[in-house]
Amino acid sequence: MITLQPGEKILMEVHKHWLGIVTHAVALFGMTIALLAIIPFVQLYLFEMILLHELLVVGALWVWFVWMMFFVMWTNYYLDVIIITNQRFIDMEQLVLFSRDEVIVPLEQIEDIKIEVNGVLATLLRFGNLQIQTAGATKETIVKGIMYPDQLRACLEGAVSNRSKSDTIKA
Amino acid sequence: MMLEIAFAVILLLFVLISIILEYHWKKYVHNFKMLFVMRLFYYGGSAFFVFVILAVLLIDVFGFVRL
Repeated sequence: MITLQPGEKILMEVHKHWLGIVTHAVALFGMTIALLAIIPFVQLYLFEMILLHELLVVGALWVWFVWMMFFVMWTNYYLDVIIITNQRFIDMEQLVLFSRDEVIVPLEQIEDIKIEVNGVLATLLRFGNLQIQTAGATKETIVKGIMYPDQLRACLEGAVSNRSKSDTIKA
Repeated sequence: MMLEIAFAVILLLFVLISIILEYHWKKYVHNFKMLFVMRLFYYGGSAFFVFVILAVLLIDVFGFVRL
């Protein structure tokens, strides 16, 4: 959970595109179906008959395990988030469970914002890459496969512009 | 007996994964509505699977229904 500074407001929160998790979920679902289809043949080979109650228990155990793996996957996807506040740009990348990468860029340090939308699928489903040039030690921040890159850029540009205006007024 | 052992192993795995997931959810998820939905589906689905497995195992042990 992020801790906001005094006077800080969240302007936009964007996750990675859902196509990634859907692709993984379809693969997981396919694997589940494949194994469920194999169990009766294994039983026939080993016992020369299909044992209904064993088939049910083994099937339910397998689907339960896959169910848990899906939620691990969903948590990884959901915790991968970009937050734009009126003071900072925060990129929280959840690589796997217990492995996390956080990039926080103050809006004053942002010099250039670039988006890339490559291919028909990315154009139709509205996802792409965001590239931010900064003045700090880390010169460049790249976020891949995010939803609504154009809206994100517009929001970020607006936030940077408002921030520089308020800094000028303070000065 | 093999089925009961397999059930115990998966149940232990469920407890471990639940602890790990709860740690991440409590620490990083700030949308409480989403957290509620995640927990509802995760524990609801798991409860359903436990019910099915226990029902079949009990039928098998006590022979409530002869298949």
